[in-house]
Amino acid sequence: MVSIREILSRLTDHQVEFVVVGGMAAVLHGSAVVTQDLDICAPMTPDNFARIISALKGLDPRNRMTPQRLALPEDPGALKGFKNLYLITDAGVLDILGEIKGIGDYDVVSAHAITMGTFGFPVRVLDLDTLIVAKAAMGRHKDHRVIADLEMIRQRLQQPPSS
Amino acid sequence: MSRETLPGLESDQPGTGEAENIPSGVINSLHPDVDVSLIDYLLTLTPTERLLRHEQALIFVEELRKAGREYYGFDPRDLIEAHRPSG
Repeated sequence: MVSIREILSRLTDHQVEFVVVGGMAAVLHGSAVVTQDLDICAPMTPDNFARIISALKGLDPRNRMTPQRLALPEDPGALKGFKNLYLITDAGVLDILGEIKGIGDYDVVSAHAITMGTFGFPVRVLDLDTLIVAKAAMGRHKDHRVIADLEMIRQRLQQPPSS
Repeated sequence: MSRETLPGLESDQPGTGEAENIPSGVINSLHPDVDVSLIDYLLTLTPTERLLRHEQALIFVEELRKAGREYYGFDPRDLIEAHRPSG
């Protein structure tokens, strides 16, 4: 059963440093896109790896890019050098990215994050303008529709309140 | 600007309805690829409500895909992907 809430709350409870990016960030901003993936940008450091491993414990996290779908190691040291983690868990797909194309690494992404209240706890999300830049940098067919949504949202939000 | 786009804000309040002063039909005609009335509706929701609605939509999409696989005997999206121009 896919549960974005489950993953977000676990990451938050375990104090994982992350920013929601990608399609789910677009959903949070108001896009009508439907996506299976939860993409986050995170510092790929031993401390954050340890928190990620702890947060996902019990959800059977596995690397979905390996044919054998290898389990996420319990030793953070085993993840040293990883720039991205593409995981499938019992709560859904989770992609952990060390860098966002067109934007930069976690520090840059974090500087362009806003905080939204979701399910009663704060979640950091890539801001609308930066998300549009990131989606444009991807240049994929499926991103065009999302960009159209996001530009429309930006246009709607910039309109002055009606009197 | 909507309240949930303000930096540092942690509330879960719905949108302000600021996006309602141009009729959807007018913008729809300018942006045929975007369902403006749906966007306007989504902007009235809180981030939590948007995620919950998205989860419901995802469940619905999965049911449709399952029906497609059962009807064709394979995932029709494989054909679409196979014929999509690269890049």
